[in-house]
Amino acid sequence: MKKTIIHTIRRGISGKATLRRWPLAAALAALMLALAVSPSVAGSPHSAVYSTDNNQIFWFIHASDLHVGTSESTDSNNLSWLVTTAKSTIKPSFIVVTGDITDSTNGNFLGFPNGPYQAEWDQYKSIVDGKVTASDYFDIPGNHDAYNDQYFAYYLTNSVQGRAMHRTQHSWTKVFPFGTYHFLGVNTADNSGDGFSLFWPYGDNAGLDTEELTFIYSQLVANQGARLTLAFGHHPLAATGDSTDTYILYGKDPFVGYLNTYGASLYGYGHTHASSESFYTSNMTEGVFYFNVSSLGKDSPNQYTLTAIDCDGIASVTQPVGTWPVVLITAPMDKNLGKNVNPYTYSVTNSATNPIRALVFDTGTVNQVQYRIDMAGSWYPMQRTAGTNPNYPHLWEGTWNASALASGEHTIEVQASTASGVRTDTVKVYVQATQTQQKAGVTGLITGKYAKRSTTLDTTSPLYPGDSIVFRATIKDSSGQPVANATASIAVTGPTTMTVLTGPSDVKGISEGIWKTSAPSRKSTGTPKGTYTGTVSGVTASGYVWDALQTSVQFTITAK
Amino acid sequence: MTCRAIVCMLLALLLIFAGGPFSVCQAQGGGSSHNDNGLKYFKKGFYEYAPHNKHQEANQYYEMAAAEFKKAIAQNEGDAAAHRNLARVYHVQQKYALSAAEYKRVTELNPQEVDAYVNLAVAYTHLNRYDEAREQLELAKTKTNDPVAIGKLNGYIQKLEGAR
Repeated sequence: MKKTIIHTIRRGISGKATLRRWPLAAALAALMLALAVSPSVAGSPHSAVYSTDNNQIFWFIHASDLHVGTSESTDSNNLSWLVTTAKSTIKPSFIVVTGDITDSTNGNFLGFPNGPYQAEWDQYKSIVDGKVTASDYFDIPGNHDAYNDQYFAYYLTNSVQGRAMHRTQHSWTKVFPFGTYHFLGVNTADNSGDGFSLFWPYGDNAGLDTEELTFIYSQLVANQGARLTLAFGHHPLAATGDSTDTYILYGKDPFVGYLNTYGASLYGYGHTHASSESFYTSNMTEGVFYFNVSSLGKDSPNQYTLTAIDCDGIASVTQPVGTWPVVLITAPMDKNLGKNVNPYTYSVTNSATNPIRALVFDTGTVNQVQYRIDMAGSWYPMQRTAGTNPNYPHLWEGTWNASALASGEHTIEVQASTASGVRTDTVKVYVQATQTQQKAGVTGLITGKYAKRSTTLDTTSPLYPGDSIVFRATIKDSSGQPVANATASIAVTGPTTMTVLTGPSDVKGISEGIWKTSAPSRKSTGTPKGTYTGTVSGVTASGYVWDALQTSVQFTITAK
Repeated sequence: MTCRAIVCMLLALLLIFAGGPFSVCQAQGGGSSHNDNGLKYFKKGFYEYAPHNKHQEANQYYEMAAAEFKKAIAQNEGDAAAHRNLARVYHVQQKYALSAAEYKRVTELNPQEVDAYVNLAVAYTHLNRYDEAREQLELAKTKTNDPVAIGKLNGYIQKLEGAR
């Protein structure tokens, strides 16, 4: 039975508003038009590289579930801390807030959300106005901002983005000298304007309708040149296992399809008041980082997440409000971020000059930053990169000599000691011990044929159609030593073409292959006469790589 | 014009109006024009003026809405939707005693409407009538077997006890 019957009027320009009154066909037609655009991949989740470059990094804060107006909570203090102390200390590229900006209870101590209440929005504005702008603060709606407000009149009139953009969904880019990054804030909140209910889905029929999906699609298409695409919404994509958690109930499949097609790297959300780092793969080729951040305002431990992009590698740390220092290892990537061996992690070799980078933030002085490997042994100092990279005074780096490490999983631990205390961050990497592979190649190549009833190579007699032409390759390593058990492939070009594979070389590096030509007959003209060239096209030997030297030999097949 | 053509035209008109500005309100006024008018006035005040802190203008529309809902109730005292709408207007106006009376009437007309009991309890808490609030929450528990709903109701009761 329907209970709440007072709903909203239409406001705003896009997001939930403009097209809904038109027939569904119009929206579908728009979607079809959008689909007609050639879908080349936008983001490149695999573009992360392990590099010594220390100037391809930026970071942002993800917070959620502010619940301004909650009875007996620290919601206002926490938000105030976020937009003042945290913002000025961490200096993020932007802050994204994934919904439930207000509580919709106006402090009623039962916690029954029967708003919206302008008083809560006034309180919200009094905290954020003057502290953030629409270019560095992206607040998107959640279910508590949607109860009894089908068209988000209060959100559109009072939120930072609603006031600036007059819509409920947002798309923004951050442009750096090293590339452009695209971000999407999607409105997963209920479109019905239902009031809160004690019964499933609790007045929260969350989802993405055709109009919202069209906007999302159009923005992905418009930002195909972005290096990475990261999306944010209030609700989880799928059921969490807790029957009281709503999730995207409609529009999920096309949305996930878009994330997949356009190479999104991450979907960040709130709603559950719990923090987790996992990986979402359902109906996706490889998946996206699937980060849930807990409530900043309502429930302990009142956390936020700091996410960094370093050479396109994603790093993340979640921390309670008001705690310092914040330590985040940005390179190398944590291979277990989101899941055990996420597909977007790069390989780490056992180089003697591996870089380790970490961001360290504190309201006080940072006294020391150091790292160690595998949670034991010596600590090695890290240096602030300010001297070489003035844009990043919070970035610390060290050089890690991994040459003595065997292949396998290793833990990197970075510890910061500051005026506020000591904190560490750890990542796991798989170190691939690379063997120094020697090169081998064909240093000499001759042709001929065996003398009758012997294996003596005759290199002077003419070659006729029907002869078995022998290719003799001498295979040596880069220091001039013969390589045994090596084979070579020889590409023959001329009046006809073919490839000759030689057998394993002997201890002197001698390897031979035979091209058995055809003599003319009544049925065939035989192997064409003429001048041929045999060129080495590859060498295979255990522990060696081909030196790519294309040694060649010329020979002629003549008529008898 | 054939009968079929007339039916088609009527359906088309219905579709056009279904896409109109009032299709979104999901009103349950039993077809009362007063209820519809009340909703129109309420929405004007609540969504056009209140978010801009134009409380005086908003309140004018709330008064007009309340008058319309009262007319709807005068026409049909058993119109639960009109009582619910009037309760909502009174709640928004912070006239909690009047709001409580209307929500109470909704629970009488629709005894299985669990959310109405909670709205009534919320109104009672604003009036510091905690015993009656608890009574309504306990009553609500008897109207459902849904474990999540019962859990939430128990949570409310616990908060109520904590506040006393």
